Amino acid sequence: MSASTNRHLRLLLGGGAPLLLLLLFVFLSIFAPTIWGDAASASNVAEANDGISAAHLMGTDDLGRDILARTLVATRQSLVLAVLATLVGGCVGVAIGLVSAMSRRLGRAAGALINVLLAFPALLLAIFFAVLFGIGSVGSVLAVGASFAPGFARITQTLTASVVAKEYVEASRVLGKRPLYVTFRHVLPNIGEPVILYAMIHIGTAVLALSGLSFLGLGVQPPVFDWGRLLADGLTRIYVTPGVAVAPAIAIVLAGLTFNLVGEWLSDVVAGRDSPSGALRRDRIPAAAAPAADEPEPPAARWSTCVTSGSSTRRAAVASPARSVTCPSRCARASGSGSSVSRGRARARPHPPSRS
Amino acid sequence: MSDHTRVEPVPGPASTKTRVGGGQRGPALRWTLFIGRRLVRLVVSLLVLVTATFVMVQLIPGDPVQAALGDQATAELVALRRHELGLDLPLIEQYLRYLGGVVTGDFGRSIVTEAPVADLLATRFPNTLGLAAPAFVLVILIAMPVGLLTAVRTRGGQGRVTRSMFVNVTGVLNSIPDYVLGTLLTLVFVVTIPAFPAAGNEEPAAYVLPVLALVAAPAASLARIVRVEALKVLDAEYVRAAKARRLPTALRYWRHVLPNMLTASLTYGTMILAGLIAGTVLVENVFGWPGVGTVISQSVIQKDYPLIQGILLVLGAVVLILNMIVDVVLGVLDPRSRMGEL
Repeated sequence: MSASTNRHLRLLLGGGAPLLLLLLFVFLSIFAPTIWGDAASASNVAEANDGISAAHLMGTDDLGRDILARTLVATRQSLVLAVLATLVGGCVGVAIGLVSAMSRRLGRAAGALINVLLAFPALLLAIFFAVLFGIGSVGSVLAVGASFAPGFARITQTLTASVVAKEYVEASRVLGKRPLYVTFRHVLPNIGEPVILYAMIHIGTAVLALSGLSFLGLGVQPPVFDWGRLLADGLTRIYVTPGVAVAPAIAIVLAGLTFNLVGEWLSDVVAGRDSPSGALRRDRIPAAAAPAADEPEPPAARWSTCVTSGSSTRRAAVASPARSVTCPSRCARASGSGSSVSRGRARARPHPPSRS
Repeated sequence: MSDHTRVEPVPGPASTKTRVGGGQRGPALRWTLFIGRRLVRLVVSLLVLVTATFVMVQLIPGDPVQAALGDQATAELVALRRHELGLDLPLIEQYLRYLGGVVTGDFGRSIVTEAPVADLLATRFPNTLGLAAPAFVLVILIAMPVGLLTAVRTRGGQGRVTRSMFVNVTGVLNSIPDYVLGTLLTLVFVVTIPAFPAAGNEEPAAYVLPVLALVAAPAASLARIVRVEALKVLDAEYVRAAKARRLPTALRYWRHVLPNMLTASLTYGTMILAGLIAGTVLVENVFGWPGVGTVISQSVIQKDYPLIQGILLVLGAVVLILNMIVDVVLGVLDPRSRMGEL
C-alpha cells in the first residue's frame, strides 16, 4: 500500500519541472500581453537594430522594439494557435477515424487515404494545405491541423476497431441503438483517454510546426508576430547583431520540450495508475452490456463469435459447423428488432452464399 | 563455426510462419507478386499525388492567374495568360494535359519568371538530395550503434545512470527543431567563431552545419526506437539460446540481434528519411542552400502555382518511392513483413 503511494508521489513529483514550465507558459500567454504589451509595440528608432545591452537584454528589432518583450508577448499567439491547430487536427482526424472504423464501405476508402497521407512528412502536408488555405494565422492553423489529421485518424481507427469488437458495443447495437448513439455513448468515451494524450503530445509538435511555417513566411503576417517570425527576423541580421535570434530560439525549444515532457509524464501517470479506479470507470460505461455478461459462459462465447464481424463469422463457420447452426437464429432475432445493423448481420450469416 | 551459423538460417520465430502463407506457389512467383503489388501501390499513390496537386490549384479561392499577376493586371492580360496556361479548357482536358505533362517531365512554366519548372527542378533538386542523403546516412550511422550500445548497457534494468542520461539527452535533442538548431549553429560557428562558411554549397565545409542541424533530432529519436527494439530482441529466447550455444558475442549480435531489430528501426527510418527531405526546406532557408526549399516558400508567397506543384510533386514522389524501396528491402530482410500478402 505504502509502496504504491510512494510510486504515486514519485510520479507526481516527476512531473514537477515540466508542469512548472507549463504553468509558466500558461501564465505568460495570459498576462504577458498586458505586462509587456507596451514595451513590445513601442518603437524607438534611435535604438533600432541594437544588439544585446543592459536596457534591452535581447536587443531590439528594426523599429527599436525590445525583442525580449516581443518574445514574451508572442507566447500567447504561438501557444493559442498551436492549441487551435491541434484541436482542428484532432476533430477532423477523430471524425475520419470513427467513420472509417464504424462503416465498412467508407472505412476502406478512408483507410487507404490515411495510409497515403501518413507516408508524407507533416511539413510537406502543411505546405500543401498552406497553399490551399492561404497564408496567415487562419491558414497556418488549418494547414497544421490538416497535417495532423491523418495521425489522429489512424490512432482513432485502431482504438475504435478494438472497442467495436467488444461485447457491450455489439449488445448496444443488437438492442437497436442507432450507430450515432453507439458511437457517442460507447466508442468515444472508451477511446477518449489515449486520444487526448496523443493530442497533448501534439501541442508541442504544433508549436514547432507553426513556428516553422512562420519562419518560412507562410504563417502569421505582420503586424502579428509569433516566435517563428521573430526567429526569421533575427536570422536576417544575425551577422550585424548576433544574439537577437537567441530569445525566440530559446522560447521555441523550451515550449517544445515542455509539452513533450508533460506528454511523457502524463502517459507515465496513465500507464502507472492504479487499476481499480480504471476498472471502475470501464465498468460504468458498458451498462448496456449487462445482459450479455449475465449469460452463462458457453452461449456468451457463441454469441460473441456470431455478432463480431462478417469475416470472423465465416471463419468460425468453417471451424465448427455446430456454432453456425446456433448463430443465425440469434442473429435473426437481432435483425428482427429492425436495427440498421440487421443488414450487416444478414451478410454475416454463413449459410446463404450471398457474398458481397 | 560456420555450421553454427547454418543451424538457423533465419533467426527468430519467422521460419515456421513463412510456410503458412506461402501455399503452393513457388518462390519466384511469390516474389513477382510481392513486388508487383508494391509497384501497383506506388503507381496508385503517385496518381493520388498528381491529382492532389492538380486539385489544389482548382480549389484555391479566386483566380490563381489574377492573384499571381496582381490586381493591376488588365482583363486581356489575364485572359491571354489563362489561354497560354490552358486554364480555359474543360477541367477533364486540363487534368489529362497536366497528367501527360508530369509523365513526360514537363511541369509547365513558372507564372512569375516564365522559366520552365523542370529546368529549375533539375538544377536545384540535386542540391536538396545532396543535403538529405548524407544526413540520412549519418542518422543511421549514429543512431544504430548508440541505440544498440545503450540497450546492451541498460538491459534488465541495469545501468540506471546510462539510461537516464540517454533518455534525457535524446529527449532534449528531439525537442530542438532543425531550423532553430541551424540558427543557433550559425550563431556559434559562423558569427562568433568563423569556422564554417555562412551560406551556399561551394565547399565541402559548407555541408557541415546544415547536415548537423538536420541530423540531431532524427538521430535522437531513432536511437530511442533502436534501444527499445534491441531491448525486446535481447530478451528473446533465441538470443538466450545463442548464448547458451556459446556463439561468440560478436556473432550473436551480428546474426541474431541486428536482423531482428532492423524491421521496426528501418520502418521508422523511412519516416525519418521522408522527414529529412521535408526538413531540408527549413534548413535550406537558414543556410541559403540553393535547393528546392529556398524556392518553395518564395513561390508560395508569390502564388507561383506551377512551381509549387512541381516542387511538391518531386518531393512527394521521392518520399513515395523511398517508401516502396524500403518495403521491398524489408521484404528481403525480414520474411515476417511480407507475411500478410503472400
